[in-house]
Amino acid sequence: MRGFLRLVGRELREVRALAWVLAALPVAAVLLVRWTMDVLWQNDWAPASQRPRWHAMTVVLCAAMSSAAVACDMFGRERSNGTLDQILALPVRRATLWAAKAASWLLLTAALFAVGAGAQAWHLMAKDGTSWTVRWAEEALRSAPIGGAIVGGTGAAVLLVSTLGLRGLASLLVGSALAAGWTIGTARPVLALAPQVELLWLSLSLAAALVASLAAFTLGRAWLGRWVRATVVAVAAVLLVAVAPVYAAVRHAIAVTPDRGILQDLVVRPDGRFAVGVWADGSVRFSSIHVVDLATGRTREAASGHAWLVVSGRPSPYARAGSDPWDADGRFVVLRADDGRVVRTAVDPATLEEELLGAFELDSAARRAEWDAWATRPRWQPGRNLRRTTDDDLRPWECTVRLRSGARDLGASVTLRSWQEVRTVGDDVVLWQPERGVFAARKLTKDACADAARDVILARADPRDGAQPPFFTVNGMTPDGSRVLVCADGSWSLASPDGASPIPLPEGAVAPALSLAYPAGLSGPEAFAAATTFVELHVGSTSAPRRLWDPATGRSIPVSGAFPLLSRLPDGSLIAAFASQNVIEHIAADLSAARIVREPKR
Amino acid sequence: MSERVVVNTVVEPVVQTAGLTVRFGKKTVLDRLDAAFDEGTVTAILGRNGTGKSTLLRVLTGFLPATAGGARIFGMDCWSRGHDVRRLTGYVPDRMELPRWMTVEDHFRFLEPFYPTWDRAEEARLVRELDLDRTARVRDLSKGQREKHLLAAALAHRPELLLLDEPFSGLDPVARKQILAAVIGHLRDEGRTILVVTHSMVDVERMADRIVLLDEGRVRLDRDAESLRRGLRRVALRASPAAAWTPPGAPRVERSGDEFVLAYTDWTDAYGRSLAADPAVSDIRTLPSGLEDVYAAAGTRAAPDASPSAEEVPCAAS
Repeated sequence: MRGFLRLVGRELREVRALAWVLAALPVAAVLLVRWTMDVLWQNDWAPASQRPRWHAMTVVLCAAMSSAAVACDMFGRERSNGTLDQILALPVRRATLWAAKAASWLLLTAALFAVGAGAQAWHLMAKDGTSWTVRWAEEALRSAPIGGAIVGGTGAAVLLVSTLGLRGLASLLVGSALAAGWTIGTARPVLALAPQVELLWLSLSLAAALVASLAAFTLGRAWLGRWVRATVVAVAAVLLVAVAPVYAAVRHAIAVTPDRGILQDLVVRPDGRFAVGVWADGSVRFSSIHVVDLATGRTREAASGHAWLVVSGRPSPYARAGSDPWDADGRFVVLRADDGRVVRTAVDPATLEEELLGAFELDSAARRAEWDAWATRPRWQPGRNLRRTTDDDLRPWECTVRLRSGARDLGASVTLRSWQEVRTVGDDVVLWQPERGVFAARKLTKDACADAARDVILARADPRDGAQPPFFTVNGMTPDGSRVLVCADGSWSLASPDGASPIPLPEGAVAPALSLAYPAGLSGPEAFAAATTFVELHVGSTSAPRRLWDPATGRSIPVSGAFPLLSRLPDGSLIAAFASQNVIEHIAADLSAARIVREPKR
Repeated sequence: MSERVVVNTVVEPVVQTAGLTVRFGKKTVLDRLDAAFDEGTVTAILGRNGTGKSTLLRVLTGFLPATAGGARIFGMDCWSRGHDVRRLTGYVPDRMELPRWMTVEDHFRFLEPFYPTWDRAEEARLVRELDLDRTARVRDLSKGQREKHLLAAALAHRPELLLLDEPFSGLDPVARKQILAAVIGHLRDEGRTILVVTHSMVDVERMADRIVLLDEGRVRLDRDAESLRRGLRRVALRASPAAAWTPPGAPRVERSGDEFVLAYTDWTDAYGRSLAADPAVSDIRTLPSGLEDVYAAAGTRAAPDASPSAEEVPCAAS
């Protein structure tokens, strides 16, 4: 045993400086990314609910990659001079020597994980008390398979490394680079990185991978000769230089393909001839403006742009129609963010000709406010008008928000619980909030917020045995807060904050969602005032076809997809565009018939 | 042509190989080697580079498996029981990666738990005899000091068998003489068995009881050192007619016209008398010779002192 411990000690002591440097690289990289994100977005780089996952994942990944680096050194270093037992020339079994190596590696790995986890826990506790620590631990456990996969993969790679020596270490670099790329790939939807940062990261990852591959290739192959190796390096350099633009081009090509995007907005021209849709690509970075000829169903691209913009500390996908998108000549007026500039253009749907109306840089709060006011009003979004101020205290069922109206701080905050909807209407805030046994709507004013709220009790229900709120769920609300679709104990109904009686949904309605139809050519407050409420539902089961139900008439009709953007044509009929399916349907005004105007490309 | 010698002894040899063959790919390094080394003997294993000397030691220490045949030490198979073999063996390789960060003392303490017979008194004696500094770090030791340290580490557990692979190449002549006298002599006195691979004939002359010459993976010569020393003789002569003349015995023959140089490893006075009585022979001269001539005398594939211009004539079997 004493001998075994001495072997373990030797292994731990003999990890080479190069291995420690390699082990430190992932940590440094992640710290750099975090620092960059903190600087860029003032620590507002991810939704609070996602941060524990990201923190945990980074720790697990760092520890796993560092462990891998050390493993490659431990298991690979003896190969350059002979096998381990011959070097040590000790009277022990070969298996004992390798067991000592494995034990020392596991010890180091455990230490790396413990240090990472400890530092993280300390950081969270120091910053937020203990509330996040448990959550972080849960996420760390959830991320453990990732780390396990890396460590396990390393175990397999060790066989390769132990035969390759220095080239094996270079292979590790390749693995680390790929892991970094993978991290970015998986974290991207969560982090919503700026495209520049993403490109930079991807390029760096690929660069590291290529350089490491080259190193692996050339280190052990001096026999190739100087010129051959130089050629390989030159080709790789060209590839490196070409990577970023090629990637950008590919991403852009994907982004401007409407069939791959998500419909963000649909506005029908007052004459009912054209609809203009705003698509965003899957990562909501790029947007494209497409004109749909409602007579033929053909879609043509009118404009596209890079639509990344930070609003209230979070990237938002915007190119969208303004509050009044049609000018006097029947052209569509759109505001887009384009590489840091905001451009306002008018597109003629008939000719697709585009005219620049103006542009400004998003370099000042005033400009940003202008954008905010122009592009978002009156389609309020909670994330923009209500800014979370104590994100880190967020628990799954609770958060505190600070109320703002546009750029103006209302000077009040309110605690929200889960399954509630929030809308601001002018200077008012409407909260639909489940309480124990009661589902209530509150209308808060800027002068008297939560305390002076006018509570309207809409429904009562006896709590089930042992049940805790919420047992109400909200599945949609009109933008002005006048109606909400609420579920209590499985029964759905439409309700309004004026205390009117809930409107029952059809028997057997399952998982409904609220939609509004806006009159063609109108938007803004007028559009909302004239909007018609529809409910999208299944009848009987979630596998049944979706139907559009008009609570005013009680009629319904099957539709092609989910979450339709509805517009009313001048003759009263409906255009339904489905956000993710790229299908546009024309529906009769009385929901008696429907036909597909545009089918998705197969 | 190989000279295969099997030593017949009354007691079981400490080291015994039987048909030992080691191949690396297509290259045969040891070729059906049969050898036995008795207890208490100091055997020098000679041979040109690449003749399988170090490979033989690696097989004996259990670091390398035999392709065919096998090797046993104290009756134990060297490969399957390598760790037991190494416990009874002291091994000083020609090149060894030591933990450079350890001190001499640290290294002794690192090794001690692996050897049940580790003897601190012996360790102290060796440190004293070899003039080692226990506090010195391995990385700071000179080549010669490192060899001394390795030797001490190999001997402190009082091994029954000592395997030395080019052990003294970094030592100055004075230190070499001191070690041979104080350390190897001490071991010989204690009746330990020593196998030493070396190119130094001076060392061989000083310590070897027996000399084994390997060539192309086989034993070319296996003799006790004293008789070999007596049997080595180089004789220059002129013979006419040269083409038909054959020397007595089985010497290695170098011929240039009618000039002959005969290298014997088994010289006896009978050969001298035969040459003197031969009417075809004239101008007989005895050339200086020593153990370094063993390569030439034994007819290894490239004897160190072989003249490139000389026409080599294989000697007939006597």
